[in-house]
Formats: sequence, C-alpha cells, structure tokens
Amino acid sequence: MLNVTMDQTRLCDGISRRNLLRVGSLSLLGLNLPQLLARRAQAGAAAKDVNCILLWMGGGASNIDTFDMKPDAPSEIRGEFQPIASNLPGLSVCEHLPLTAQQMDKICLIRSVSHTESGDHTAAHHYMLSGYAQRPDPTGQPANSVIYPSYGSVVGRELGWRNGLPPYVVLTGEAAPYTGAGYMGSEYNPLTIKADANDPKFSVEDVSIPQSVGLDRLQRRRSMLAAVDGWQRQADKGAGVLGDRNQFYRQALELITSPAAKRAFQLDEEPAALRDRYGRHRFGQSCLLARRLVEAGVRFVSVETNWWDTHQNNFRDLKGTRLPNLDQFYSALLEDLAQRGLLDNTLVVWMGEFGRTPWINGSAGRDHWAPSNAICLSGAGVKMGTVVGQTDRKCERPLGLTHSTHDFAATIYRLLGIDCTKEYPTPDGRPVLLNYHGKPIAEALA
Amino acid sequence: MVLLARIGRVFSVALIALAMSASALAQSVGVPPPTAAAQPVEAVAQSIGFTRDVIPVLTKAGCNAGACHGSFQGRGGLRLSLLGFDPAADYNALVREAHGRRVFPAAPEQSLILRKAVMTVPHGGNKRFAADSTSYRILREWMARGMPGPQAADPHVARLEVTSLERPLQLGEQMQLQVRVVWSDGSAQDATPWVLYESNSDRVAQVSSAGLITVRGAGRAAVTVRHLGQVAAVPVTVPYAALADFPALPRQNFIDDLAIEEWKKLGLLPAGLATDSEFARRVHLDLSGTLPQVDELRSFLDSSDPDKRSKLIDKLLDRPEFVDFWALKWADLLRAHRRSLGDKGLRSFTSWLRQALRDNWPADKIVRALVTAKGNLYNEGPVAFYFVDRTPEDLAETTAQVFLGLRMQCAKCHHHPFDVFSQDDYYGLAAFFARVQRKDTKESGAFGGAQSIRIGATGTVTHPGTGQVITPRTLGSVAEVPDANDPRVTLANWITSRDNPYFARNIVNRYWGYLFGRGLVDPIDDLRPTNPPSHPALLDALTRDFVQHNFDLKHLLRTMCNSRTYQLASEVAPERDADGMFFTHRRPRRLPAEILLDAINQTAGVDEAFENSPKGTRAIALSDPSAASYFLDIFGRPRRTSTCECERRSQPDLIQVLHLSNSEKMHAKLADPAGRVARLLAANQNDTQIIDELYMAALSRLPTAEERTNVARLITAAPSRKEGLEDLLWALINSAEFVFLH
Repeated sequence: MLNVTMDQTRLCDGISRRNLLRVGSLSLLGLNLPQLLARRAQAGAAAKDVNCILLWMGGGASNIDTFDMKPDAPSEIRGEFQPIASNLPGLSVCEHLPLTAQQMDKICLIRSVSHTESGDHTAAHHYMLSGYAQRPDPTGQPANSVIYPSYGSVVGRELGWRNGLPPYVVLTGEAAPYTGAGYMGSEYNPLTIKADANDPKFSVEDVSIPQSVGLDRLQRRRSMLAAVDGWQRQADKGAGVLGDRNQFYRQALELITSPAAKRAFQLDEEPAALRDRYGRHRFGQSCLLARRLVEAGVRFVSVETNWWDTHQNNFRDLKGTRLPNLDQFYSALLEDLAQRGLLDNTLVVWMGEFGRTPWINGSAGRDHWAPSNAICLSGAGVKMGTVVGQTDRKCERPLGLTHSTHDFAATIYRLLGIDCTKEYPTPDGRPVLLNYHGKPIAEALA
Repeated sequence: MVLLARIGRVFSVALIALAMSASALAQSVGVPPPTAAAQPVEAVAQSIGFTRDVIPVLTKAGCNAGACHGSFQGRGGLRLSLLGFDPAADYNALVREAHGRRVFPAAPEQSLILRKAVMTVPHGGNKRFAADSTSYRILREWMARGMPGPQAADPHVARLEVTSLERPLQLGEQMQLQVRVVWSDGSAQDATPWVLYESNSDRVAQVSSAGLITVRGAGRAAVTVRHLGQVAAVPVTVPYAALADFPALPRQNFIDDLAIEEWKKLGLLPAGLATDSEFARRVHLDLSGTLPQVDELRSFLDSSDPDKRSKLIDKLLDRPEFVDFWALKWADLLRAHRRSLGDKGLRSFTSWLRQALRDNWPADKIVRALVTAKGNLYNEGPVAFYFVDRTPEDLAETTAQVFLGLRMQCAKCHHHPFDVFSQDDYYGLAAFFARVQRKDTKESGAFGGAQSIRIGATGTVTHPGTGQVITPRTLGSVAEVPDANDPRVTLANWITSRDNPYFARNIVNRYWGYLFGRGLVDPIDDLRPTNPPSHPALLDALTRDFVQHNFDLKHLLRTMCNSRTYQLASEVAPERDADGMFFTHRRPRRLPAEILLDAINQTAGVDEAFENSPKGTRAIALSDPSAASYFLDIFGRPRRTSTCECERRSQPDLIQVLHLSNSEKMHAKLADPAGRVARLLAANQNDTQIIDELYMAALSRLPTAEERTNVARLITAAPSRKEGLEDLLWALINSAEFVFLH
C-alpha cells in the first residue's frame, strides 16, 4: 500500500535530485554532448521523419480518474480520488499521477474524441487504432467485414524500414486486437516482442540467435543455404515469383546480427538510475526499450498495458499499482525524450479503446464508456500544454467541440507526415480510404 | 460511324457529342469521319431524357462516383446514387432537395449544378467540364426544357454492344472502341462518349475516357465498359512474338489442345515437361497436401511404367490425406469454426464433410445438402451452413460467392458497380432464406443444447430502399415460383442445374486455381462479366466435361492433373508470361501454412503436438482452425471469417523468415533426438547416403553432383558431423525450393 502523502514527498524530492543529476552529467545517460547535439541536428534535418511511441491503455483507462476529474460532481460520480494541480495552470489531474502532473506542459490533453462502441473491447480497439468502426466480435474476427490497418502498420507501409530495423514493433503482452495490418497484409504486421524487458535474462525470441546455435553456427548455416538454394540464385537474376523472399532473409539476417538492434535490446547499457526512474517492471522497462528502439531506427513502437478494465474495485486497483506504475513510466518517458531532444521528432500518444463510465457500479467499478475519453499527445508537431475540448459536468459526453475517431486518425496521420487521403484496395479489390474524410484536430496541432 | 447512320431514331444531344468527339478521335487514329451531320442542340432538345441523357453526363463527369456525391454519405450536402443506379432519387436530389436551389430552369446557366461543375463557384470536386462542352449543354437544355424526370415507363438498358477485337493487336497500336446501347424498347443508340472504360491491365492496354485503346505490352487485358447498370468486357490480345512456324506440340488431353491454341495466338512456347521428381512432389502436394515419403518416391522414380504418372494420380485421389486436405479446403471455404458452431457442431460438420469427400459426393449433391439442410446440427452436419451465417443477407452473399463465384456484397446497398446485379437480385436471393428458423440455445461447446434449423410458415425480406417485400428470385431472372414447403429447394434446383451459368464454372475455375496457382478467371472467386477468363474456350470445355461427368470432383482433378499443361516444368524467372496467366510453365507459389508445417515435420522426422489433438495430428487434418499455433498464424492460415479465397495469405514476411530461420522451436525440430538426422546418424550411413536422403525427404530429388560436393565440404568443416547435418537440414527447409510448390 502506498501512502499518498509520503509518496508525493519522496517523489518530489526525487525529481529535483534527478534533474540535478541529469544537468550535471549527460554521459551517465549513455550520451556525451557532441553525440546529443548530432542527434538533435539529425532530428531537425529530418523534420518529416517522425517516430511514434504509442502507450496503449488496453481495457480502457478511466478518464474521470486520471485526466478529466470532476471534483464538483456528486460522490457517486467523482469517486474517491482528489485532484492535484499540474504544471499547467488551471489543469488538475489525479492525485495518483504526481509525476505526470509535472509533465502536463508537454501534453496536449484531448477530451473531445467520442465514439459509440462501449460494448465490445475489440471493436473499440478497431475504432481507436484505425478510425473505422468494426462489427463487435469478441474474438476480433468479425465475419465479412474489412479489417483496417492500425497506425503502426500504415507507418510501416508508407515509410518502410530504417537502419535495418523493422518499422513497427509491439512490446509487452499478447498484442492487443487490431494492432496488425488488416487488409494491407501480414507483411506490415508488427514485430511483436513478448519477452519481459524487466527480466534480467531478457532476450527476444526469433530475433536473438538461439543460445544453442550462436553466431558462428548461424554464419555456417548461411553458407550452407547459399550452397543449397540454387533457386534463389536463379530468381535473383530477374523479377521472379519468389517476391521479396530474399529481401526478408536479408532483413532477418540484418536484424538478427545487427549490432544496432542487438544494442537497442541491451537495456543494461542504461544507467541504473534511469532504469529505476522508468520503473523496474516490464512496462517501465518496455518504455525505456521503446525509446532505445526509436533511437536505433524503429519508427513506431507500441507499448501495451492491459490492466485498465476496472469493472470491480476501480479505486483500490488504480491506486494500488496501476496509476503509480503509469505515473512512473509515462513521466519518465516524456522527461527522457525531452532531455534527449527526441521529443522534437517523436510523437507520444497515450490512449486506450475507450473511457469509463462516470457513474460507479455496484462493485465499486466503472464500466466501458466510449462517448467520453481522454487522450494525451506529446512531441513532434503537437501543441503541447493545451487542453482540447471539455466534457459535461458528469464527464458523460464532450460539450461543444467533438471529434470523431476519423478526425483523431487524421490528426495522427498529419503528425506522422502520412497522406491519409490515399485509397488502397482490399484483398478482394474494393477500394477503401485510409481515412474516411476525417479532419485533423486543429487545436492539437502546433 | 456507318453504324450511327443506320440507327433510325431522332437522337439526343448525346449522339451529337459522340459525332463531335468521335470525329476528333477518328482523325487521330485514321478512322473515317462520321457521315451523320451534327444537328443543332435546340432541334433535338425535346428528346432529352433524365435517365438516358442526364445521368450519363453526371456519371461521365464523376459526379456520382463513390469518392464524390455517389458516396453513401454524399459530399458537400449532395448525395447521388452510385453511378446513377437510382434515377428517381437523383432527380429528387437535384430538383427538389435543398429547396430546389440546385437547378434554375429560368436561367439554367445560373443553376448551382452548372456553376459548381464549371467552378464559377467554389467546388470541392474542382472543375468537371467546360461551359462549352456537350455535357454542359445537355444539362442546360434539360433545365431549359422543364427538367423532365424519370418515368416508370422509361425503357432500361437491355445490353451493351461493343466493337469486338478478335484480331490480335500489335504493340503501340491504337484502337477506338464503339459502344452501342440497346434499350428495352428495342431502340438503340451510340454511347461511345458516355460509357465508363477501364482496363484491367495498364501494362498491356490503356484505355482513355473516350474509349481509345493504346497497346502498351504483350499479353492479354480486358477493357470493361459500364453504362447505366449494364457491363461488357472486350478482351485485348497482344502477341509476345510472331511465330511463323508454330511447332506441333505434344498433347495429352483436350486441355492441352485449347492451351496450345492460346499459345499460338500469343506467340508463346511452353516449358518442357517437368521431371518425374518435380511432378511427384507437385502432385503429392496438390492432391494430398503432403510431401512424398522417401521410399515411395524412390519406387516411383525407379519405375519404368509409361503410365506411372496417371497411376500415381489415381493412387493419390484415394489416399486418406486426400480427404484431410480437401476437407480443409472446403471447411475454409464454408468458414467452419467453433465460434459459430461450437465444438460439437464443428465435429458434426467436419465428419459429414469428410464422409462426403471420402465417398466422392458430386459437387451438386454436396451443395444441395448444404442449401437445403435442416434438423439438428449435432446429427446433420450440413446444418452448419445455417449457423455460420445467420441472416438471409449473409446467406445470400455466401451462396453467391462460394457456390456461384459471384461477389454480391456490393448489391446490398446499391447496384453492383461492376456487374449487372441490382438490389432486387441481392434481396431476391436473400428472400429464399427468409423462412429459415433456428433454435439456438446459446450454449455451445461439447455439452451445448439444441441447435437446429427448420422452415417456418412465414418470413420475408424487404428492400431497404423501397420497403417492399421482395419475393425470392434467382439471379438475373424474373421471380420464380418457389417450392411452397421450402423455397430453398427451388434455389438448390436452380444452383445445381446443369444449365446454371455459374455453378459448374465456379467449381471448375476454383479447382483449376487450386492446382495451377491461378484461376482461368482470376481472382478465382470473382466470375463477373467484367473479369473475363484468360482462356474462355478452355473454361467452357472443362465446364462441359464436368457437367457431363455429373459434377464428379475426382474426375475433374484427374482430368486436370493428367494434362500435359499441368505437368509442365516450373520456372522461377520466366522471360515471358511472367504472371503465369497463360500456363506456359508452372508458376511456383508458397506452400500454404498447414502444408508447410507438415512438410517441415515430415522432413525433420518429428511430430507436432497441437492442443487437444493426439500427438502426431497433422496440420492439414486439424478440424479446429483456432487450434493454437504460432506457426500457422504467421504463415497465413485463414481465420475463416471471409468467404473470399484471398483470406489465406501467402506473401512472405519478416516474421515468417525470423521464425523459420532463427527460432528455438525450429532448431529443436532439426536437433530432435528422435528426428531424421539423429536416426540417420544412428544407422551408420555415410555422408553421401545421408545427404541424398535429406535431399529426397525435403526436395523430393537427389542433389546434383556439385551440390553433393559443396554440401559435403561444409559438413566436414562443421565442428561435428551432427551439427553439419543439422545445418544442411536447416538450409534445405529454408530454401525457396522447399518452401515453394512448383
């Protein structure tokens, strides 16, 4: 059990010490100053080459208990938590997010996005990850309907590989529904890493060379393949039916043996203090890994959490570990990216498939609620330190300014420099638009 | 143009436009100028009809396209029906909606539709035509003449007549199409400037919006023509070469005769006959989804029987693996899944299906059983058909796509943009299923309650636009009188009739596609008239043969496999016929997920352990498509949610390559202490013997002398013989020759 008051004191103290540490000694963070400057220059030069880190709040994080508190609402709505002031004047957030409260100047908080799929997690995932509605289907496999690609897959298709690293990586968990490429095909599916980044023996299945094989043997196998694969040699002479097979073998080998990739996965290169700051749990370490992957060349990293479906004991569970964990890794990531100048070309998105009901159910829980939601954007091209839209007194619906999921998707595509008016064919040849006439949320764009 | 002069009717302005634009084109392509004199617009304005003249203007200008006002939501407040399928609604939208401000009969030039179209006011869709265009004049005159609307008695388009292009075209040649529209009242008119043109292969032939074809490359393309709900397609054939003395090619059956005929037209020569090894591997995989075992392969290769190929085909058609493999295909197609059937229902359906295939039920019997199924799912397997799809609309779509090769989904909401089918056809087909009633206790799984189908006394389907009750009707026909007891019997009779234009053709084309990797119509489940077959005569002949043999599926497979065309060698990088459209060679394709996994296990000499299945269950024999398998998922096993064959993905990707080449799981198979390498080592064979056996197991052939030497050298260089041999097995499994069916 955390003691709220003690917690705040300890963490406030911690921040100031850490700031001191950071200013005094950049090299502790694995970078010297020239490197840092070089990176910044690079980021400026490639202003369009925007990365994205998606922090996915699977299950649907409670908006009213985090970033849209309603202290004046009746107690059966406002719940147990108290608001605290943030570093953005006039904005208060949940008392269990004290570190994040100090990062609100780096966040554009959007309360105007609303959709209608409160019933089904998977269909709601589709809404939020593609903009498009989807038939409810608990297996995530609706019959006879088009599955649209998620943002990461679109980035992969539109922008491709960089530095020998795949464009789209999903960290933690089982990969939430609809994180894949849908009609675009498996080629654009994410590389999903299930291993626990907090495990001291963390290694990435299929990407790290099996211990029983090792690098030398892998090289011998490649020679053997060259001796055996006459077909491939034939195909390499002209455009043949083997398609990009050879390219994938090259990419795979590149990835398996890439020092950049290998290094990106080596979290122990990071100073212990920074690893502590992110949090010594798989989500904290995954956020740190996300930053390292983006630095190494991955364009879109999704870090998935899946513990927000608080139908029972919402308050007990949120304040237990969930909000404190979130507070730790979210604030650490923003701080760290800003510190490294990476926030200039890295979009950070915090969101889930829907918000939760403002009213509290009989099990002290909150249920799914899609009409109101809270989404946070930071970084590249985002108008940070702003709040877009507001919800009504009870946090039930947006008041006035309201945006559809297509508007939201158009915003993400705009920020990532992707032309979302494009049309693609589904496998059965039907032309569909990447985005259905959404308008980017002007208030969120710098 | 002589054609135009012959049409004895006072023409609308459309004709004038044609005369004008066609004469301009005629000059550029050397066609004689038209003899019909252009008449002044005013003189013929009486004849302007909304459907006949105004809608084509809107269609040709793109106003009612799906991306513009033809979208379901409309654009900028104006919604038109997609490509003008609903003239009454379009008339209403233009004349009555928005307080009539879109049209201005007193001063047509001031009307919003014209000012938007020429962009004298802002228009999100930009300028569509010029103020001096014929399109402009038609709309202006239509308004000036009191805006005549569509009438119930208006004729509709009966058919389109398009210049035929029997003659092969040459590279760079241009050709102007002429399109004549024949109306239901017998009148006819030239519609060349107003129809929509599209080429299905710009690489071969491009077509301009005026219907001018320009030949770009060798091969075959279809140029489709669409006008007021009717469609037509013109094949364009461009030879690869002019072969003066086409050689007399060997043939085995009528398939070869018809294939050779096409090669002659195209100036293509086929590859040679596949070797015995290549043939054996191919036919084993195609018919039984299973690699040949080393010993049976050796005896086939050693046999000198001249009929050994035919005998092998017959043998494979009677294998238990044949049933496994084809049951998998049909279950994919029918989307059998525990999510809709429950475990018990899935078992009931699968065992019925396997029995039907084991007994070689003819296709009509299988389909009739499915369409007319009733009773309890747990006793009657085919009842599953009515639990996979549960609404009349979904059942209509599945029936059309799976049994007839027709994609009707478009016609749910509007006239099919690439076919002749209307919403009446769609809901008319759905109406056959309106009386299906299901008892579904919602409990699924092994102990699920009753799940049964019966035919109720009542039940109707209504047209979503008009709200009218739609009576059952088979596609393209006027309403049929259905069986009073069970309308589905009428439907099943029509589907499985020997004269049904789609049923046998659909199955023949699918099976051809399964064996050859590409349908005669491609995609293999899209038999619309705007997607014509590559070999029309061959598809017709095979269909006739299949019907004559009473829809015998094994006969169909046997006929195809015995053709020389099926037995041609494969080419990895062909110079001609690169996409394999003319079947001059075998075009390799990646093994489907289940076959690949089985092939790896068989080659490595290990068994897969699937959840809830006995160890050693093969992937092609899994009845539950949701049985957990990372391998099957990443290699594109279909989820059985779509009736489209495209759901099975076969393109390579990084995740697959990582798994195949670098996973602990694959490595464990190679190094399994009971696996093939371990067994061969224990059997004290020498390197050459082991290398030969591994090649036979994996690639169904012996290594070449060069391969044998190179591989042996690498094995010797490895730290241990075991490691070297495992690495050879790794390389064989990762080679393209293994992963591809060829």
